[in-house]
Amino acid sequence: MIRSIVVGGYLLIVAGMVVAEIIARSKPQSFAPVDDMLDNIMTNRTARIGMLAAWWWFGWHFIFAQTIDPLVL
Amino acid sequence: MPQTHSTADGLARPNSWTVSVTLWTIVLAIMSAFQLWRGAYVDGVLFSILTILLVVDTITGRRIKLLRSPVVAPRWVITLVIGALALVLMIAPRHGMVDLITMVVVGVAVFILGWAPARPRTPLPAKAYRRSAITWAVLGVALCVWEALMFILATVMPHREFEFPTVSVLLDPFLEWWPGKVIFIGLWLVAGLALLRVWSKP
Repeated sequence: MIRSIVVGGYLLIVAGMVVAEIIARSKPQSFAPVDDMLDNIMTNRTARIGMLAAWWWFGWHFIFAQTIDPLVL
Repeated sequence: MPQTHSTADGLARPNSWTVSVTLWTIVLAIMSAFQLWRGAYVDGVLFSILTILLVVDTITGRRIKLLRSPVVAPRWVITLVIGALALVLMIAPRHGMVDLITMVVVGVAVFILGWAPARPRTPLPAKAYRRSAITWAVLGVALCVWEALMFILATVMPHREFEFPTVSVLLDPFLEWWPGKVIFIGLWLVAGLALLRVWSKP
């Protein structure tokens, strides 16, 4: 039950992202699509390096690093 | 001290501690502290170095320069590089030495390309950017807080770890499945390419 609520929480946030992007695509002049928004904030070096670091870390974490601790018996 | 902000060429002059820069610096500092707290010392040290570097760069008025202009490459070059990276990451065993070397190479290359001044853009109304940035910031913070909360709960109640899965716990079985790994690497590389914007127009 608790696990379902937790997974539901993740899905709710992802659904929010999808809805936000659908709205943005239909009204770009009042709500910028995510690529335009990122383009805008990434004119700043700190934001750009922050975004790229987050992206790289995501790959590092899931492709190379140990994502979950081995089960201790 | 003149009051200036970062410009489209990314070459902000002092004083460039804008709200955006301050918030991003705080986010990176929190990320560093969180990684160190959870025992991922390599990740924590990398983020700490990056945060310090960006703070020094901001304080000194963006004087740290690696490239003079944004890098733009023909699409065939980009396709070749991304294709080679994808192939290596998809074939190499997960968590292995080849993955480590590839990720370090990607990290260094992206850091150098990302440090270069930004490319010019076609502007939309400021209110459109503001609404979008606030919405995505709220959603992003919500995801990070939810994930961190599950990590903390699973840490303090290890016998109930199954009930509080982090994104890593949920995604790990998918990544152990070879097609899942291929999908993840493909999406990850495309996202990175979209963020870097290094391709030239056809």
